[in-house]
Amino acid sequence: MICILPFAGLSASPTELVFFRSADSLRAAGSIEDAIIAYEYEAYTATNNITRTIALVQKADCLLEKGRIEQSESTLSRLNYFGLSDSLQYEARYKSALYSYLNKNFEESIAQFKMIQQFLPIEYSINSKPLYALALNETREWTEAKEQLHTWGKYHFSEDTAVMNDFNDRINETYQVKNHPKLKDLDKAQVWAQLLPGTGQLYSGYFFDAAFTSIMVLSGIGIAAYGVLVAKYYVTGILLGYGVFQQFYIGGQKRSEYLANKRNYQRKRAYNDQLKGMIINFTKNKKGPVND
Amino acid sequence: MSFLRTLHILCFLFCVGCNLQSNAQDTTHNAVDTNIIDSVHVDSSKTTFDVKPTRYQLQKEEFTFILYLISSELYDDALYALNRLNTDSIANPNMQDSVNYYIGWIKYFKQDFHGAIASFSAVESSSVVVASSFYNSICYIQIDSLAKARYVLQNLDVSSDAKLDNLKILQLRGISLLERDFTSYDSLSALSVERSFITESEMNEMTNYADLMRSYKRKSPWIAGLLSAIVPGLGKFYAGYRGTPFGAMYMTIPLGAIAAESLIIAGVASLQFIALGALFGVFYVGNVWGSVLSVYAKEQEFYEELDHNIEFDLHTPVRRAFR
Repeated sequence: MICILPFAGLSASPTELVFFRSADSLRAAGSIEDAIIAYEYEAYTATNNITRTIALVQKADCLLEKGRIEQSESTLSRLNYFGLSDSLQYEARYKSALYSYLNKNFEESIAQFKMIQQFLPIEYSINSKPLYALALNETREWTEAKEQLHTWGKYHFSEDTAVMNDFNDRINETYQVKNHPKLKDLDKAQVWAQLLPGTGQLYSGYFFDAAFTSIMVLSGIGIAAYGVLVAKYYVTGILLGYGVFQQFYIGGQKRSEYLANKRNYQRKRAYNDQLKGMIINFTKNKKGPVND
Repeated sequence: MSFLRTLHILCFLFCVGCNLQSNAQDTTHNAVDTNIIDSVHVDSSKTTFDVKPTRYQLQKEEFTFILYLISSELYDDALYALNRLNTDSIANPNMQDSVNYYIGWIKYFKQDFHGAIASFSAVESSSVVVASSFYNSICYIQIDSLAKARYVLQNLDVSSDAKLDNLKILQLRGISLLERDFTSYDSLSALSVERSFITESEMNEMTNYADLMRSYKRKSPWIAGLLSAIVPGLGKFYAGYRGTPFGAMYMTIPLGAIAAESLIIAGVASLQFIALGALFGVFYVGNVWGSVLSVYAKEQEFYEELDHNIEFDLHTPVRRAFR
């Protein structure tokens, strides 16, 4: 890849033009920031889409190396796929999908995988399916993810029926609907918290949180009852009791919703991490499933 | 054979001549870009040069690329490339000014106003000096150095261009309002200026802001305090707040009720009443004092909002003029 960029080491005399370096050599020398600009320059001076695409893909790689994932993704969003060979188009689209996935932009990643399926032969799209499945897992499209993995397994393990059956069994078992994370209903958590303070948190599985809320709400009622019935401090009892009750009753409802959300995230994360581990193991060892 | 050799020597001399001419342009700081013999052309995969390019030609090529980065909104890349170019000794003063201007502009865009001022101030004499001065003034306004902003504009001669003169007057009027210097504002308003689409709506806005500032009357802190002494929170309501008075009420009135109850039941000398009464007293006095201060706070909020609007209306026409 040839790119002459008037940057590095340019100094007093034109005779020192030997310091002009190619983007690839800058990258190889570890001058990633310079290489980022050099690749952009290469894309800028490119007179055909292939050179431009290669340069921008390389630039996105450099940006990723510097931890600028968002910019990596946006760089690849500038690609024009018209007139590219299948292999280059696959590389560009796959990296685009991968960087979107790394940037947690799962919808965009899935859209790119769909493009790969739509426009590229199966020989290319088949290898993208594990990452496609990972992106689908994140958007809770587990059934579709399972289908993608089956297609991938059929392609890679077709020569050995026993291995393929084992692979299919593992996928079917892990993706069973009963294994899908049971997500908490936020509305239900709030309704429970309204009906009986503490039960909202209990619904999400936070027992100590539930107990604390219940105790504080009951304390509020207790303070009011004690003030009115025993101490005969009617105003103090009612105001203090109501204050404590109201704070924990209203606060408990909001906390129930927050905890339900937290629980949903944890369950989804745990399940997807389990799936991720399994998928990575399969892709590492395409000859057959390995133990997780 | 001798003919070919002669031709070869002539070609060589021509190339050397081109280089010498370009070098001369570098050393004499020729400001006109078009005078440079541009022997740069781009082929399909790389940039090549028919003759050995001068440093200026290379820098010019690089600068063109930087302009492309800016137009593509790749500001991080553009700033990095501009800084790299700036570390090189740029012989052409026009280009040096342009580099400083664009570094300043990107820093301004990224709200690094101190950095932008340093770069805009480095612009010396080229066509971008006017734009730099306007942006410099805006940056000074952003860091609350209004005197410096005024100084920059006052030293800017744009009398030959009615639109820019109009823009300068708008900026000075805005600065006068930010300084609350109505005498200066009135003298600037008295100047006759041509109508210009760049500044017309903002000129009208400045008039509105000035009217608002002049007509603003701060509420009485005494009345606010008195009202809050009668009904906790009412003073804040009088000052113009609509939400916080109820918060004050919810705290102070129940505390007062509890203290009153303990006074009735336990008596004035009881420890219980003394503790609750003191607590209520702290909240009550704090609420009254808070209402007095709220009048000043409301005034400050009023001026801060106006200042924000004025600053916005000073930015917009500058960006419109030097887009």
